[in-house]
Amino acid sequence: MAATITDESLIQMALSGRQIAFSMLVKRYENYVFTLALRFVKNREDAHEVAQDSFLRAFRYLPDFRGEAKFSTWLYRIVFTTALNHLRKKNPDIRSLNDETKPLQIPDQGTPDGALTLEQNDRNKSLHQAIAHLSADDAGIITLFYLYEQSLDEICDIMGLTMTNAKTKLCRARQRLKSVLDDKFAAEIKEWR
Amino acid sequence: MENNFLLNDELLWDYADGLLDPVQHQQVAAYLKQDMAWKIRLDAIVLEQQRFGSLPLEKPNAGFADRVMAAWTLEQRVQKAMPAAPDWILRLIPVVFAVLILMPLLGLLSGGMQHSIPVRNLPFELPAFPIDAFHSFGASPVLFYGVLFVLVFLTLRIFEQFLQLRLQHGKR
Repeated sequence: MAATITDESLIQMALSGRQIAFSMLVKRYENYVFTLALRFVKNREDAHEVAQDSFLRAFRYLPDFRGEAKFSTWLYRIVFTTALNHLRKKNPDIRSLNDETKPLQIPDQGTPDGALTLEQNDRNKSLHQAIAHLSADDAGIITLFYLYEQSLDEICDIMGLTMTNAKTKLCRARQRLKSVLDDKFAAEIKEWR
Repeated sequence: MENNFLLNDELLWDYADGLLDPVQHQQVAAYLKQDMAWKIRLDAIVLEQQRFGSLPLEKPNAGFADRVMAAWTLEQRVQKAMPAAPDWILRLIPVVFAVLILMPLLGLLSGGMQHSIPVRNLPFELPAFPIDAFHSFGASPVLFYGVLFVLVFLTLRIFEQFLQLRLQHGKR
């Protein structure tokens, strides 16, 4: 089995002008970037735009990436700022993602994975929908912490928060997710608790 | 069991998330050893965390990566197509800029010296500066401010050009 090329190697290859390296970075991170963008901007069309802009910005500034943080953390920070700029363009009153609290479009789940059981699919769908009901800020922090397994330090770096602020936000996001699950998906979660 | 310590659901979530400081972490761990009900609750929380963590990622529409690469290739082509500024222009512009700034200053300085210092006492001879021309120049406000405006305008334009060229040059 071929060994996985590390991000660092791909970055070096990309900086030396090899297009294949850029392409591999996109393929490696497209789902992560798209999911995070979707959590922030709440609809698939905008998420595509934010995800594409994020990749282009990342490639443009790749020579500035010094490897002090993980590439993924650096990339997610770009997604965060791109999403924030995108939302500000649509609504100039938005100062932080916390201001973007309007109810959201429930994302289309796409084709179900055959390997997953029906119960798992239902559960995942309910969880996705519950997360989609959260504000952009809450959905982002929940996704980064639980799904992408970013540490609180890394989340502070990505979202420009202090440690205390990040802890508080995570705690509140968790409470809000619990209350959304209890209020809107009570029947579904009764089965899997 | 610690007397003043009360466990609640939020604290238990923080414990499971690894967000507690070492002292609090120890307190919760000690509490859990003695209270089965909270231990069961912790197991449920860990299970919920695993569910969050195992959520499948959303997938962009088919061909997304190709579209990103097409946009990136186009951007690179556009950048390559932009004419490169020759090095000599980049060096010349700050020189012109410096001369424009320094010339009037030198003129004023030299003029002032001719007025205040007796020229004969100097160990060297100062070049004669056309102070009279400056006097007549200063006497007409239209001429003075007109020339000043043109000089400032030209300086700013040249500086702007310089910054643009530097920017283009730096991107390469």
